[in-house]
Amino acid sequence: MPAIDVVSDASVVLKWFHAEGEEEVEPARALLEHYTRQAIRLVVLDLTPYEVANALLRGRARVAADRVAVVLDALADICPQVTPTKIDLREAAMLAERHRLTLYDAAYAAVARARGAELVTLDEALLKSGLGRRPSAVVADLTRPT
Amino acid sequence: MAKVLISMPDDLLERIDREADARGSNRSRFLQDAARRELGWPSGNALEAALTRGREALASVGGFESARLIREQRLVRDAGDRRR
Repeated sequence: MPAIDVVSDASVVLKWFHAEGEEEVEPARALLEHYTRQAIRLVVLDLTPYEVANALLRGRARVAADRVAVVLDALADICPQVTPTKIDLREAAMLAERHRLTLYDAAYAAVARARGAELVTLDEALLKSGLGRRPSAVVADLTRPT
Repeated sequence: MAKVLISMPDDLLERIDREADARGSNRSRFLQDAARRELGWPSGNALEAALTRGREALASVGGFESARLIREQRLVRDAGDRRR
């Protein structure tokens, strides 16, 4: 079976490293197993490290900077970070307007669309808009017998 | 980010520029994406080592739901952008 493209947003990426109090840790991590087996091509956006770091440093977690740096370094070793093109950003603006999303949300959806990729997210706004799917749903498809 | 000087046939460079332009991208981004595709997947060992490092760094930070943290930060940034 050819590998499918998957774009992961920051809400899923963080679960690769953190488990306590998290939903959907197993399916989020199962994506990495499929990635290791080359069943999926996994990418994040160049925006993702900023989102991950911001959430850890400035959110209620208040994680120390040196630990955040280790997580960012690990993320860079796991999967490529892609930069949205001008066309992606134009699409993102339209999606943001149509679905009342922030441009940060919409950028993930636009990059996934342009690549014919699945967007995996646990962000309620992206899930409600129908632009992204839960890791559990994507993993279920990957493990379903053909 | 490093800047590199590489040699390439003129016709190939022309094709790259044409395709990058058609995608609303540019030469650097196009070549970065192509290199990533060519390099493919990290080794299982490299991925496992990276995960172990990241998990150890967050081992004692306590419980939280990442999706909620990310949502809060996106809304904070969005509100800041609206005020500009």
